[in-house]
Amino acid sequence: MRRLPYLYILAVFILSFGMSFIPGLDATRFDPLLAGQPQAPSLHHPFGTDDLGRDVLVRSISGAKISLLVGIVSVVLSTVLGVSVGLLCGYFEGVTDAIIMRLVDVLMALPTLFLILIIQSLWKPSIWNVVIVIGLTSWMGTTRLVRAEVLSVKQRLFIISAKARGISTSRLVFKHMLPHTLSPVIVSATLGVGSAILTESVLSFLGLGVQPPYASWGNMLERSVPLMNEAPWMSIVPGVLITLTVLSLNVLSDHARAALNKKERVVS
Amino acid sequence: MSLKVENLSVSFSSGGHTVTAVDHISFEIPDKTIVGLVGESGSGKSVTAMSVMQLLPPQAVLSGSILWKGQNIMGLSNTQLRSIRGSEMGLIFQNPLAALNPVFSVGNQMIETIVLHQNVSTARARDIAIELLQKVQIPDAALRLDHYPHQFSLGMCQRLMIAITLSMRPKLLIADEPTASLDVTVQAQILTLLNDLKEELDMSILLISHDLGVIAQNCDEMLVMYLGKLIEKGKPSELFKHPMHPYTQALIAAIPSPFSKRSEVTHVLKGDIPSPLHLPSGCRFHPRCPKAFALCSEKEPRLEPVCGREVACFLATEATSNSR
Amino acid sequence: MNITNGLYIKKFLRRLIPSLFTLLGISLVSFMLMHLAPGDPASMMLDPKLSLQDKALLKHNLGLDQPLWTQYGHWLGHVLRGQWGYSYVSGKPVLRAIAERLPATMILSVSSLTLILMLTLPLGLWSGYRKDTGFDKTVTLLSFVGMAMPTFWLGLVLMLIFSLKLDWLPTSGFLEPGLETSSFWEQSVAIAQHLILPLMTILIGSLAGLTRYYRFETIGILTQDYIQAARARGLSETRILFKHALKNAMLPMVTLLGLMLPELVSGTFVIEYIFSWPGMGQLGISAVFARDYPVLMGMLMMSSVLIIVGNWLSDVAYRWVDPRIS
Ligand SMILES: Nc1ncnc2c1ncn2[C@@H]1O[C@H](COP(=O)(O)OP(=O)(O)OP(=O)(O)O)[C@@H](O)[C@H]1O
Ligand SMILES: [Mg+2]
Repeated sequence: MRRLPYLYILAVFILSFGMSFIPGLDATRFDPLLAGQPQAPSLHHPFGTDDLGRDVLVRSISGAKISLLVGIVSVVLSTVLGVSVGLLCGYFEGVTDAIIMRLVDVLMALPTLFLILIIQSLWKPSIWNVVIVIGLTSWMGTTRLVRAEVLSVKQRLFIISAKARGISTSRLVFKHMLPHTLSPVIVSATLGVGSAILTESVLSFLGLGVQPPYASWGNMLERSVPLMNEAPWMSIVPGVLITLTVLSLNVLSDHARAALNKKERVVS
Repeated sequence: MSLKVENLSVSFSSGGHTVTAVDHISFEIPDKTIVGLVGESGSGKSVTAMSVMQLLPPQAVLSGSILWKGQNIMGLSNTQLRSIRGSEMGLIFQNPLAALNPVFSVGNQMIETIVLHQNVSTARARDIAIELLQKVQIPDAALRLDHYPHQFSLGMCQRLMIAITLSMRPKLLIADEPTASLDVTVQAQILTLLNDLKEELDMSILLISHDLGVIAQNCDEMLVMYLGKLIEKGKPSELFKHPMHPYTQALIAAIPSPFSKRSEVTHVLKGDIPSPLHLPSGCRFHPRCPKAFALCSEKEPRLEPVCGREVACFLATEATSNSR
Repeated sequence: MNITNGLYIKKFLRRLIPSLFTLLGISLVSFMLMHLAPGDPASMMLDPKLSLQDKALLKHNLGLDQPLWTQYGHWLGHVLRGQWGYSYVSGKPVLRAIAERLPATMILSVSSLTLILMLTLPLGLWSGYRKDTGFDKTVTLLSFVGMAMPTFWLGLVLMLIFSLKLDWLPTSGFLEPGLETSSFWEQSVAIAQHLILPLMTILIGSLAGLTRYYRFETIGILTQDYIQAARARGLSETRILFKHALKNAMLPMVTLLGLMLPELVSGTFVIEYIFSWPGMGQLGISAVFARDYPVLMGMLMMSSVLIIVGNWLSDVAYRWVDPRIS
């Protein structure tokens, strides 16, 4: 039961990235005979087909790749950005710090999703734009976290040793800071992947994210809206997949938090 | 017999380690008596107090029995214990600041308690609360009632705690270091107050203290605890005059008198109290005992009656059996 | 009396000035966003059929050929005087277009916020109090699922079930066309019917996270001495939980709500759009599609003001709940 989320994530990974190697499974291929009339789930199409006669299962798997890609790459971007800005601010303090932290305040007072929507509508929507925009609008929390940690480590080290023993503060800060900040950063990053996947789905749902013919869970949902009554499977399948994926990622992050907490308690 | 504790043991386990904080102790608190409990820090006094109230955290494992008026209250649920807590047994917490809810005014918490236990209107409860605050020497009582715990000093919090507990008029008062952070004059007044109330309400008291002087002056019976064990119990007058357990002897010798020199006082007890995680073999006190001999590290002495008291020391029991 | 008034004003200013700076920053960010975007959105409002010469002339008249900083200065000057421009779509002044949408948004957000507070408190408290029981496990599972569900999809599913399949509730909108002139009571009932689905969607989405947070908070609080002390005084478990633990658990909740506000606001935007709820969010998202820049700017500024004020209120609330901060 506890392993279920791990198995699920693993399965989604293998399926979505392995699919490209199986010939004949093409998310954009449609069956002209079935076009116009979505088919209910059957043996041949376990999750049914959409209104263009495309297989929903195949599209879902291909959508998984995009969702995971967007989730992971944008979180890597925001984490790298967040950690470096946080280090910078915490290390130098002073004017740079003050200015950047003001900027963080400003960005945190903006309704993020709405901001992303506006940016996406201004620039040409594409997968990479989605990644960049999500990355650039979600680093502030990490920055605050890292900065606070650096400041406190600095203060502690200052009092304990640095001055007395003449050891370079920078080395100590980096040596002691990283293990300390790492655990909250890891936890917030796993949570971040889930929320990036959710953001991507909203964007694509509104037509401002991944563009057809590429499949993404979000744009599959967009397509399903007018047909919701006749072909509910078109909407239920991607929705359930998003939920399961984000759910599993959140459980992973919860486990990570628990494990890291325990480790920290043993160490201290 | 109001309270009878039999074979009480309490242990905490966390992360593979088990700490036995209280180890098979038995004692009684008869009606209208004051029983004193002394011992070094970490010897299990507070844990004993909390087990009598059945207020230990869920990870504590308890065994033995606690009889209140003949009924075993061990393991009763919070709801079942409600009729006993407060009205029958009151507890003055050792850490008064943490025991007061920081987000409610002191008056709010006092009035809530008085309304519950004395069945009076809120307005009347307020008057009672003011009277009580005056009794425990809080100036400007009426005004202070609306203040929050963080606005009081530690000593004042201790007195607030005493006032709240006394407002419930319990039959048994468990006072965990009630005067620890009070200066001598206030301490004396509080102890007088406790004694008066004991007479007025026919209350019995379990008085926990570091201060042997306080115990000597106020108690009818005294229990000495070391690392979770009771090692000597008896009348304070006798214990003070003629302590039998080397630990009790050391404690009494360590009482500072205003005229003794510093060096005379501090040398008495060597070493720190051992970690309860790694208890010494045999008698727990033997590594620090000036009179220890071979048997002490092998066998654990039992608490046995010796000349009108009880002692857990081979020296004491042997001396008496020899003289017999 | 005067002294305390002076103190209040000082405190007020100490909060106000940073907020004003934040707002200034937001205006700068949003202005640059619009003006640095490809396709020069600011000039897109010009008729594409105009000749190049006319375009240049018009650009000059509109000040679009000046440096960005000057343009920003002009724009800010206008904004401060309450001139926020006109919607490209409806031609209405931006402020009026937004103000018209305020009532619907208020109905939705105030009712959802109230219900969130009323439901998460007892749910989280009880689930923390009955830790590891069936109740707690159910709540935990549901909150994990609730946090993972895309809210807009949840809205669609609810719509599918309750309006399309069961036909209990209207799919979307605010008020049927024929009802504008009917009695207040009839209108209220109709609005309430339309409110149920969007409200449920927002609730399920936000209940989850807060309940879970609250549960953690409660578990921590219940180990505190003052809870044991309350038990020692013979207080009932209900009183201990719903008076003594509750107020302490409310402290971080207040801050958390403030922090969640940006997400709550944009989440509500999407819900409004899906259910065609004629609030600010629907206006905002339609403006995104129509590239209605003056409205977008206005919406960004307005929602940021809402968020800042919300944070401010949560701060005031914190001070009010926690006596230790004066
Ligand atoms: N909740 C708990 N979890 C684990 N161990 C505990 C817990 N409470 C008490 N202990 C352990 O039980 C032992 C006895 O503690 P207790 O608080 O009763 O000492 P005490 O005699 O009251 O000391 P003091 O004079 O300092 O108040 C200590 O070793 C302590 O570490
Ligand atoms: Mg103690």
